[in-house]
Amino acid sequence: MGSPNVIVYARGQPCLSKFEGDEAHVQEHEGLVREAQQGDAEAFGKLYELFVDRVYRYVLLRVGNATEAEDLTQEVFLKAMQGLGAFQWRGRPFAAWLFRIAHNQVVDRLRRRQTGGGQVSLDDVLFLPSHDNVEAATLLALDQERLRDALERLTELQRQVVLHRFVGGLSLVETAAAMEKTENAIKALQHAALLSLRRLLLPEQRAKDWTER
Amino acid sequence: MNQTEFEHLLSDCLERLARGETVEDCLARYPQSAQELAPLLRVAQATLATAASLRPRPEARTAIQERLSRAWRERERKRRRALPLLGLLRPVLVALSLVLLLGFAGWGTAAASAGSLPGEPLYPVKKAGERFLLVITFSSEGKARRHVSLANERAKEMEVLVHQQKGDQDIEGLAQRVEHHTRAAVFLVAGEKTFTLATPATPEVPPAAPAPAQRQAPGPQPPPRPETTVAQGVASPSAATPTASPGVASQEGASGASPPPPGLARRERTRLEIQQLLRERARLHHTRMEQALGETPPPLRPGLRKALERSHQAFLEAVRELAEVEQKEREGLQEQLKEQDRPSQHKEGPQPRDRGPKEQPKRSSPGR
Repeated sequence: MGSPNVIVYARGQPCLSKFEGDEAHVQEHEGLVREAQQGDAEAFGKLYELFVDRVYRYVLLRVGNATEAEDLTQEVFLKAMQGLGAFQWRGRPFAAWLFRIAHNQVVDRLRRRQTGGGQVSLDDVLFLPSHDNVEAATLLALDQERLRDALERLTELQRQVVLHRFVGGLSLVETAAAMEKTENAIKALQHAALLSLRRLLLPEQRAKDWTER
Repeated sequence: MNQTEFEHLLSDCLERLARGETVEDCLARYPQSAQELAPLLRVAQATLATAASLRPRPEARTAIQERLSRAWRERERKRRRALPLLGLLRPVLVALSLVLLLGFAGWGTAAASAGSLPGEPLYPVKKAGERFLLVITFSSEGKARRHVSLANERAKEMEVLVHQQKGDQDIEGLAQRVEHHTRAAVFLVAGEKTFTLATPATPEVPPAAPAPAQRQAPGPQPPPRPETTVAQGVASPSAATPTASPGVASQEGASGASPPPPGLARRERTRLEIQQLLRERARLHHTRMEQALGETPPPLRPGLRKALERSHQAFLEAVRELAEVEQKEREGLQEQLKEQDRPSQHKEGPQPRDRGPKEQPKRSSPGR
């Protein structure tokens, strides 16, 4: 059984899985959470498979360090495991709850880094990509750096909405729940964030080529 | 199109992108906004594509899985350990809940029974509650106070029944209970040396009234009971019970003397307190009963008056006997002090009567 959290290609354009943000998918999460709460390890494993990449991306683009991001991803799932018994659905999707944990972990780590004066090495930033093509890997790594640089220039709320919606793959409803905002507020925020990203990422023809690639 | 409408439109396109549609599909859906939508959708798609390429290293992924598996096993082990304990505790918790529930229910019933009268359904509950309170009171003084309180309660019930003009038999029975409780109270605080009572501390059935000679055996014979009416006795209880006056007088006379031994002091205080309560109750009881009797039909009055006299005399008798006990203990104490004074005059140092109670242990302290 393949993971639903895979990149699918429609007409040659990459996009997030068709399941993400889907109501049926939210219900699937709910079922898995209930089974995991009753001690079903396999259900928790499925949840892990569904979210591990998305959490990792979210964390990585905040901390900028692959090793640190992996470490934080582990912490997020350990926290989720500890808090699973107390988690109650009550209209708040599991994804929103999980990304809230991720957000808190990132904030803690960045705060510690600021007070501890930790340095990030270039080797750590250039993480290993998911394929073996070195040339493409270099290009992607550069793109990731540009994306991260652009994200750093956004306002905190704009950055959060981009990270939740386009990096973490949360639906509008899930993003609203995770950020504790209304759906209309998220719509306005994502519009503003995309306008800012456009200014930051598309200042020249080369950037235009990049987006049309 | 205003900004809000555009935001809804953009959001719809982003949802479609997330569901697998292309930028071109979205632009074709909204041709009038295509120019404005296109750069935003391309940026969104580029962000989605870049983010999608980010994955943890395979070895890191495996390491996280292993770490989570260990944590899960540990978590389940703890859960399994906790569950049998809960299972064992469940009967205890259920039993505790039941006890609490019954306790609250019982408390409610007992509270509801507080104002019940003989012959009413809740009266046995009231009596059971009273017996329970007696059982859980351990000190003689405490039990004595409880008996005084019960004598008061029976007297009040008599007053209500007479007022309601019902229950001749019950009224007589209540008078007997007043007698029983006042005697028990006196017995409990009288002390063994100077006072004996033929009845047990809390007999269920009131004993037959003992002969005056039996009750007064240790002390000198009190003067014969004055032939006063009940009203006179109530108006001046001490006059009705002449032995009470010497007791109080001796108490006042002894107040300037050395303090009583600590063990005696508490009992003495209780005795005086009970004496006061009983005296007050005798007066009230008589007044109320006389009022109630005035309202009853004349043919019923003789039987009720007999019961009233019995209960009233029980109060007065208890006051008198306590005063006697008081008198005897004072006399005994004075005798004891005199005897101690005599040999101490030939010795040096402070006289024993000047020695405080705290200095006494010097003689008895072991190892010194």
